[in-house]
Amino acid sequence: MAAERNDKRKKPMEEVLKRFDGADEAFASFIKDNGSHPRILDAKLTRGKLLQDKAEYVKACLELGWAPASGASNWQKQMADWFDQAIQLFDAAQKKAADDRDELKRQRKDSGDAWDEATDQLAVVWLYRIAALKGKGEALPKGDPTGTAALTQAIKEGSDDYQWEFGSTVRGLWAIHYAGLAAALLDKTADTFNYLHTAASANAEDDNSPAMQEITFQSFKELGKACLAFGRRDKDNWPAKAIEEFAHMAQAWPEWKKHPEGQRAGLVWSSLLAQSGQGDKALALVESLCKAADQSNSNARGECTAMLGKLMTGGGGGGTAIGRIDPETATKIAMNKWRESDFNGAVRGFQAVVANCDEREEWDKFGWSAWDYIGRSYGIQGRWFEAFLAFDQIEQAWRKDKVNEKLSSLTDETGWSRAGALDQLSRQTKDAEDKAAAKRALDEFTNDHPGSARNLGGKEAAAATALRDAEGSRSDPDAYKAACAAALKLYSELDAASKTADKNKATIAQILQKMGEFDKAIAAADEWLAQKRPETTDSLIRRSREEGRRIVLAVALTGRAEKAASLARSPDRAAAAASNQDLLTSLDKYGPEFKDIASNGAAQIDQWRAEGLIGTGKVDDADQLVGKLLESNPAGRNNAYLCAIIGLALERAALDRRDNKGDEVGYRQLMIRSARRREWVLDNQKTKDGAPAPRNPDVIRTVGDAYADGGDFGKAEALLTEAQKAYDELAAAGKDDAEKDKNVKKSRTCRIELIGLLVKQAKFDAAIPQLEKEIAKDPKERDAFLKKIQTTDAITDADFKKLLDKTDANKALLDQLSVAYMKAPSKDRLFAAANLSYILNLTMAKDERHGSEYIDFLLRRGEAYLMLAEFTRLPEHYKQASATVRNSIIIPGNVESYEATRPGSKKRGDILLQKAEEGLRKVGVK
Amino acid sequence: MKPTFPLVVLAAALLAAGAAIGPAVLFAPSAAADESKQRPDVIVQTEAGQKKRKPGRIESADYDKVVFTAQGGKKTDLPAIDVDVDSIQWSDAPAGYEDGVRALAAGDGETARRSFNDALNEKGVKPDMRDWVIEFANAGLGRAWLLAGDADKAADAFGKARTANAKSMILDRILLGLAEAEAARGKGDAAARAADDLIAAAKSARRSTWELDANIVKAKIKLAAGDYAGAMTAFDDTVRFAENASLTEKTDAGKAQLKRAGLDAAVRRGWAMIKKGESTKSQADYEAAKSYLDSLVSKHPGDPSVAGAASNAAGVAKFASGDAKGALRQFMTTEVVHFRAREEVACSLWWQAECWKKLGNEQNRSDRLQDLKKSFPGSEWARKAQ
Repeated sequence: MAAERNDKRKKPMEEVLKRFDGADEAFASFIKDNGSHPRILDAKLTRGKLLQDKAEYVKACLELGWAPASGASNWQKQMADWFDQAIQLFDAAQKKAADDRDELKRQRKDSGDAWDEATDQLAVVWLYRIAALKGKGEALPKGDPTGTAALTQAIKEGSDDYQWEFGSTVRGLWAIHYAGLAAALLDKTADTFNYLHTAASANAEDDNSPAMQEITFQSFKELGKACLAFGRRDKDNWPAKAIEEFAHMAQAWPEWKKHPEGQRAGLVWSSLLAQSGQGDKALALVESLCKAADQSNSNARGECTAMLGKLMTGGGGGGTAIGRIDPETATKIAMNKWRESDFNGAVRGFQAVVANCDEREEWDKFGWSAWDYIGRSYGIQGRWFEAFLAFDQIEQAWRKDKVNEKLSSLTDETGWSRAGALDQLSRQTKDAEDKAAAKRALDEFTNDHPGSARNLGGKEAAAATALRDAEGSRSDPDAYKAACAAALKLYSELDAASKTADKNKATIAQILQKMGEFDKAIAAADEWLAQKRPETTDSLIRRSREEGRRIVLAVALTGRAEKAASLARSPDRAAAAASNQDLLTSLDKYGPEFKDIASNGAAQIDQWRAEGLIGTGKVDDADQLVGKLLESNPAGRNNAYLCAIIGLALERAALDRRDNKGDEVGYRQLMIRSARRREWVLDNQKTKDGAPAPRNPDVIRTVGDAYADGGDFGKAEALLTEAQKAYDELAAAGKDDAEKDKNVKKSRTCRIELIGLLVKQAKFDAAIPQLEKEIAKDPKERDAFLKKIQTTDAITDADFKKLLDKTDANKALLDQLSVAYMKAPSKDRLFAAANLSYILNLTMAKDERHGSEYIDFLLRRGEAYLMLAEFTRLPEHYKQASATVRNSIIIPGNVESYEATRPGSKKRGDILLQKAEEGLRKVGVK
Repeated sequence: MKPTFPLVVLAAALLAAGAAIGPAVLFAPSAAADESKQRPDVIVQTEAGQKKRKPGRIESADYDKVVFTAQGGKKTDLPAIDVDVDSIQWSDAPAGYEDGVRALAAGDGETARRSFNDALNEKGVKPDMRDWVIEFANAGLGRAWLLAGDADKAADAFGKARTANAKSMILDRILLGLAEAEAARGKGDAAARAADDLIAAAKSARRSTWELDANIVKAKIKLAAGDYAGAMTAFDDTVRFAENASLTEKTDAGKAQLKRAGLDAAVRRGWAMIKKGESTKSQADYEAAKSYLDSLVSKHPGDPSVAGAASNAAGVAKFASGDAKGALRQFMTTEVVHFRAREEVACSLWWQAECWKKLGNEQNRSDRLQDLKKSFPGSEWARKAQ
């Protein structure tokens, strides 16, 4: 009860103090009546702690404004008095504990369990006493002689006397921690810093001592708080010193963010950073703490989110609000306010969510719910007109976009809330106009949301609720599917003759789509749309029919689009093409009507059409369509996505042209077209303010690579150079070492790719030495690596990894080098190329395995062996070439799937096998 | 646009550089660093839409030229107009200066005053310290005095800043601040002169935004003097100026900035009409204001400032006609629906309090004023509510 800090949940102060007094009376009475009881020491200790806790509670009440400010000095005297009593109790207990121990010593029993227990008791009660001395000094006004004396005593005992006895223990560190706190209260800056630093730095995570975590992180936290308060004094910059200490903390305790006290220490660190003008670092730190607190379900979660809110709004010590905020983070901050029952704060918080939602996905995930919470927050405060306005925002949005699933589902409830708010308002104002408005809103709700649980009979309400509840388990695919199945069952059991039957049937199609049963969903939607229905004047049936039609139109199209997308990587190319053709056909059939009912329907249709054309192999038609769209609507929201998919499609078509048809010229032309589409995004993306968006170096690099493959080396060089420069700047501006390192590596990759341009231009003599030089800074390591891979392929995986550890080789380097070796072959180089291709596959990340590059490197290895075989005429090399294809592609059954992923791979594999066989026959093996 | 002290980062975001407009030169506090390490000065420039930090040594910084030596490089004259210098970080900023900048950003005038005075005092005892401190710290001090409501001291501080460097990169802040201070102490003519001086400097420095801001200040001076017709004309001139300037503006960001400024001026014109209505108490004047703002809404649908202003104008008109309940609903609409327009929301809260007062609900009146002071502490409406 005393620990409750929430203003809405707290108990009245008198009630809490009464409980304290009751407990205190019981202990006081026991102590008085049982002077020689074996547990008398415990009783005194407990009473002392109780008095301490009572004083801490009153201190908290004064800080939070729960105690009347006018009585502050009175309370301070009382608190000091309680600490005093506690000190006396601890004195007595300490003396007894010391006497008991001395007695054991006299009896020469100064080892063993009894001795340890006595020593322990002494340590505990002494520590309590030091803490109580500090508490007494803190309770009294600054400069009060009694208070100063108590603090001085706490410092002396904590930093000196106690250390003699218990200096090497965790309690010893606590004692010096209290000494530090006492020194802070006396404004002894250097002593504070030294004591708390000692307590904080005594151990590190490597020491594997969980008991140390609490003292360590609390000491860092208090050190930070003290330095924040000290500020700059004379020649010392205490905040800067504290920031350095926190950096040490992060090094000594790499897992510090996982502990609630570590998180609290981190919050103080962030305040220091914000106050010292490093707002971006402060924000990044707090965001990471919020994440860590969430993951560990820590009790510091609320504090982390509160600090995030402060930093975002400029109250965290950094002054001005720091930049925009993503809707997810804004939602966390707002929800914190909501949970704390700070409804005004919740309104502002959720307004920040709304203000930061731009994309439709953000609106669906965060924005509309935020308006709902705004409405609820106003409603709880009895501000009914404002609540109505908020709910009305959602309702009006739904009226413009009735196909939007999120809005449809939400307004089934918020439509009711909207009407309810006006109803409450009319009761408040007793105004006839307000009453009429409330009735109108209710009628609208009944008419517009017949499917809402509020408007339905029991079974239908249960089905609607089950479906809404299913959405709550979306993050767990299995649970979601099960919940959808349960909702499906309920919908299937509804009366087929009910007035809402049309919408119910449509909802069944929708649920099937949610479960991924595309064929069934599409069939159900088509059947619904094809069915002839008798005319009706019943408004409920008409509404249900209209809503149902909107649902099935969306299912008919989105279901087909999702099905086609799910088949994109399927080995069954015919099925994938058929699915895309079906999509195109349905766009012609249903598209015009869909455009009218869905906001952004036209843009969505265009996107699906482009995807469908790509999926049916009509890449040129798709490219033409995208070109027209870019011209007619350069600011279209989907443009970047369209350029990306067409860029990819053109690239795949290029690879097919080269590898399946041997058309090198066609390959390059298509790669140039692919590059241009991707470059469009770079040149035309804008920020939300309409200014040109900063050019993403990852995208610049991709475009550069595409131009390189297309043969436009000038353009490639310019773009790769731009990307390299951008990475260098990002590295220089990096917030931490990890970010710097990442960008340094990317910059290097660009450098290597620039060298690779020489390879593409067949300038191998220039390229190969530069690439080899990149392998390692140390020439000895470099030579050792090259020698190994050029002379043998009998290298184990473990040896490959050991070799790599000594080099700076990365994927780009090994890739370019292996290609260059194969273009300017020699026996040694081909050996190396085979080994390098193997390394490339070996070191690939799990999620990249069996991707396009993986397949490429696999085949390259085989091709390298084949070329090597032409040099050596050794059967084993021909066999290796053929084994690469057989063992990795044919035998595991990867032929079709690899072809789907990397067009042309089947043909390359076939050619490899054929030539290997021919080779073996030539050398007389077959 | 309201004149704000250079540090305010949000203003910096709005005033993204455009070459023809000229950058709004803003000062950012130096990042905290170990005192023992030598820090370079840093200029932040915009090149091809990207911000670049360049460490070095600034020899001088005027609105038409920055003399700068890059680290490891040679001294160059950077024409401040053509090379977008967004902001400067001085390596030798006294601790008080940085504290003052932060305090201003947080709206803490008292700490800001103390800190800037500390900085100036430190400069006083350290003659080797560069002179930029006098210029910038006085500009900050002026703004801090304005926050405290002492226009005389504010005018004095701005005057000193101007004397320190008549071609200051932050001359707009200095002269706009001076104009505000002079207007606050009832010296409309002196305020107008400061604004005219800024216009002259703007033409020389080729900074359209300075001219824009000065025109708005002149319009506000006329408004304060009760010259409604003059104010409306001045705002109309500003709108036209912004439109013309945007035609020749090369960058998209610059165009957006000018469009925003023009729209703000148009909204202020609407408010000038409302003020006229408040003065004449003529319903026809209120209706004219409402009509004007509604027409702005049709021309700029979705703009929260325009929509908020129109909503508030409708509320004021209703209030003036005696319909406190209707007015209240209108102001509530501004608060809930047009919440992105912060100034209009602040205005709506003040008016909601007036409506509740009229309707005899003291608790709600008090709650709205509390919310206003807590959520919008730096706004003119919060000051009005004190």
